[in-house]
Amino acid sequence: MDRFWLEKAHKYISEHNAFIDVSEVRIDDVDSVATISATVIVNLPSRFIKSGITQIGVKEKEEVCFYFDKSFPLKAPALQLRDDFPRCFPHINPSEKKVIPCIYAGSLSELLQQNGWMNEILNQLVDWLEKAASNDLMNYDQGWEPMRNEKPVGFMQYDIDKTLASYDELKTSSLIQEIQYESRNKIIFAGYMCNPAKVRKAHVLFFLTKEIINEYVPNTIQELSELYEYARSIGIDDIKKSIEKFDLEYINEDKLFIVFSVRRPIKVIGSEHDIEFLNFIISKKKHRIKKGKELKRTLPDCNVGMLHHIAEESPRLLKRIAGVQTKIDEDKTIALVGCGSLGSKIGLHLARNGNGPFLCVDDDLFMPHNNARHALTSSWARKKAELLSSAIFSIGKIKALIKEDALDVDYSKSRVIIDTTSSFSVRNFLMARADLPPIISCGLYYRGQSGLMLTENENKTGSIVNIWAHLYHKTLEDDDIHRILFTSNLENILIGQSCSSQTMIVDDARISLMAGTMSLKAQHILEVGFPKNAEIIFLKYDDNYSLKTNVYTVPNFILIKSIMEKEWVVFISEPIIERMRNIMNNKSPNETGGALLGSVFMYSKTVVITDIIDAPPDSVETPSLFILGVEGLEQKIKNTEKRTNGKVTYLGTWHSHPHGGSASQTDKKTLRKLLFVRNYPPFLNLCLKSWM
Amino acid sequence: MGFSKIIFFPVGEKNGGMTLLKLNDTNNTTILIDCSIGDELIADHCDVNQELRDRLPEDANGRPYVDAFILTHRHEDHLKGFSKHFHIGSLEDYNKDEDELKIIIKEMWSSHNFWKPASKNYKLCANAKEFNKEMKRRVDLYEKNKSIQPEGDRAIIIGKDPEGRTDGLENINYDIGASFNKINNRNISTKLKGLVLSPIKQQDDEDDECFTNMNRQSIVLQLNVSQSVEKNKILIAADAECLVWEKLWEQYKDDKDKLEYHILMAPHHCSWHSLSYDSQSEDDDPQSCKNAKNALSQAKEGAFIISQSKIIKDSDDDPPSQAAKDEYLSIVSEDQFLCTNEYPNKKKPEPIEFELTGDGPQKKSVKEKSKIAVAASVSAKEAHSHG
Repeated sequence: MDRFWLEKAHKYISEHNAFIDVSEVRIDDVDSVATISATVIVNLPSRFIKSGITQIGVKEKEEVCFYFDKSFPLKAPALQLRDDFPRCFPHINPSEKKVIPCIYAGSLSELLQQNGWMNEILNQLVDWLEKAASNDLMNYDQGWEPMRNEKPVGFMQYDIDKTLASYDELKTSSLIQEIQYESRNKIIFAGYMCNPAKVRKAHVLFFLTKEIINEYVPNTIQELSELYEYARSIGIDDIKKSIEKFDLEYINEDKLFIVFSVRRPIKVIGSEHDIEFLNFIISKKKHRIKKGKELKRTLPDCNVGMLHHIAEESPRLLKRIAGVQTKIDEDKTIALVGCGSLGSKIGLHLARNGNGPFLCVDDDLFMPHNNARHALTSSWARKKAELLSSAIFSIGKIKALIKEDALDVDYSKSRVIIDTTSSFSVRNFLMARADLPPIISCGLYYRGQSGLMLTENENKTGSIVNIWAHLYHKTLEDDDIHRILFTSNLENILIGQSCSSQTMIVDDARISLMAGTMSLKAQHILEVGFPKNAEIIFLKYDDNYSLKTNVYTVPNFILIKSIMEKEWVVFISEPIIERMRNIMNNKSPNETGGALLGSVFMYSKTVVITDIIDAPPDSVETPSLFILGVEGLEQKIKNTEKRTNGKVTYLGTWHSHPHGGSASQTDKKTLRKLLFVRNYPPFLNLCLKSWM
Repeated sequence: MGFSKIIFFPVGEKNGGMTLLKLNDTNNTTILIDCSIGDELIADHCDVNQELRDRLPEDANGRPYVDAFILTHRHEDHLKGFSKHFHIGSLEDYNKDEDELKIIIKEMWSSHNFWKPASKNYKLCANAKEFNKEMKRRVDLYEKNKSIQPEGDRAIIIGKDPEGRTDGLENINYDIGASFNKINNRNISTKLKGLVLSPIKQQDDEDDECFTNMNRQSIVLQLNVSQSVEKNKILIAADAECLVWEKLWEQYKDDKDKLEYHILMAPHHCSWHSLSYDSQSEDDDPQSCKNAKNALSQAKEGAFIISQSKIIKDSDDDPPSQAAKDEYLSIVSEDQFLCTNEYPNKKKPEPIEFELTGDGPQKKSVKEKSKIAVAASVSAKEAHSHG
């Protein structure tokens, strides 16, 4: 024992204003435990001052004992009150013989490490005793202290939410359920925790109290008669009859579980309900199980034990532990398109928050190298989608359907698609379908140094095809985005989805960093809905071990109908239309115009206009004629295409008809003249009328 | 939830008064009776400003406030620090950028004396002038709109003004002998019932000088704070002198519960003259006035008497007076008589805090502070929750 610290502790106790009669430090023969005893002066409420003892039995002078072991002061001393200190209070640690006050909601050893050192503990102890004196230990801010159980006999797992829902739906205050249990080394495991090979069957009777029970009592029930008596004290009167009837009905079952659902005035500590669940197991006496007339005998007094409740793994439990606002009981799935290293991590993050159900889409097999970065592990080649689906189920019994081919899935029962494949074919597929639920597209770039998360908006006026066009356009000015998308001539240096990405070297932690942030955003969307405008989140890992995140808003895009070409779809962003309108108004009554820039998406037959080039100086602008000049135009277009690998290209021309009317012969001639760059369709000749 | 609390703060070298009542009703109504916040630590130890502010609630804008500030009378030792620490004027002019935010007074309580201007024979300290001005501002608002003012502009006047200025102000005026259950215009009758005992009217044999003396004009209140079926009775005696107590006894001797208390704040910082007409220095055998003492003797079982004063010395100093203390010790035991500047010891006084339980007031022990860091004391106010 370290005398130095023991003497210090002794000094603190002696100098504390509430402590008197402090004993010397007594160390046992084997030098393993040191004891200090002392008396605490407890301030009593005025009514009890004269008698020196409260109604319940707290005295004005209470003896306490501190037990220090060798690890003091890293570990706090154990505290003990006199053996006959009243036990009817909450916040007493379960112990059969000694009265051990629970003076602090956390670890006493941690409290000891605070600034006040021993005074932190001494102050708490005095406060505890004073609260016991005013019978105020039940801290209503903290919540209802669950019934103290000195001798737990096991664990019982069930879903409290479901039980409460059943009371409600059936408009009843009693329920019957079958339950499986296992008795292992005299400990009862009831519910799903037991070894399937050793389970036995029994029944549970649930009883809900009618009234709010505002009285705290620790558990003292050990026999059936005491259980009956407690039931009566909380207003459940007919329990004896029910139990005896039920015992006869299931005479062959050795155990009977009883659960009291007791209404409390406030929420139970650590729970979101103001109903406390008290779980008991009746071990029916065996000698009764004979034949014939024995069945008429009543259940004799027999042993009753109390069990800890274990929450069933469920989305609600997960939600509560995570402290999030997950929407529970959703019908539509979260489609995880891509179950690789990024998709599995995002999927599991969302599942651990209680989200679901899921649809896992991936046709890839889990191979040994996937162990480097996948959220899950497998020693044999299973389908990734299957692996993720079973993991999600084991997290919280969350349903996760499995599909292989992303291009052949019915997404109508999904509420969001999270695409982590970074597959061009999947992207093209998603771009071509206007009927899909909103899409979140995630990918990692540039050896995992950067990431992109693209989020459509709710009504898809910023769809994935618009977002990509906007993103390509952004590369004209944004060097970071330019670098990650076009460093090589190919833009497929993405990771995490297929064999072709094996060359991408990046470690698991870095993917987790990105996946974590992306999951936070996805969770936010699942809680509050998709943003008003589509968004691009650009994530960049820096050398200081941190992730820098920029959020860019994508403007809304408007669909333009083509007069001549029905196959192709044209979008134009709202700010560009606004710009064109301003130019037209400024030049009115003259006609004016310019060149259109943007992106072409072949598979989805979509053209997205993201920019315009003003009319060159040699253009002709009169009230009845606009001729687009060519001076400098070709160079400008070539520069743009060069910088963007051709992703932003010359799409055609636009001109204004301030007085209405459609494209003229002159317009068509100009169009032909400008085919020097673009010699394949689509080609646009956009006419802006005054009413547009 | 916790119990309601009452806190008596230590005072400076010239005595003083400051008492905080924190109720556990749904709004956690907070009432401050007088203020005495000097710039110096009490006994080089207790920072009453910090101790007070640690216990004050904050409004939605993060501003500290009290629901009611009750000024018992206009002496400097009951108003020390008023202008420095409390917001004066409309809340629209509140300055959120100050290093130490001013405390908002939602409802201000004063005797009608706020109308009485300072004069040669009626000197007012600077804080009292500020207080009166603010009180007038608030009462004028009521007179103008004839409706209860918004929080921060509210005022309650105690006693009928002899010049009739309280006429028409009945909604914000309590006469002597009246009971009340509203604080900050909220009815909290299930939690608090108050009774205005004094300033009693001018007595037949009482001259004007005596009657208009500030201590004589002290507001004396009995506050009944409910907890379950129990009423914790607190007698706020302010600086009322012997005559007041003598007359109160005559008035209530058949209605003693109006004078009953679990906690008595010994009048006038435990001064002899609250108990006696005799002089300690000039009379041979000074006696306490029987009826005044009767009025102050209606202690409930286990009652406490608090002397909000300097350390009580066995000398001719008064207040506090050892002779007065001796009289009080015939009412309660030595353990139940507490002097703010001697608790828990003379060297390191701390606020005396009571919880008002369903079994009467329970004194709370003083939390020992860190021995490592002096400044660590601030965070040691609230106990941690129990596991």
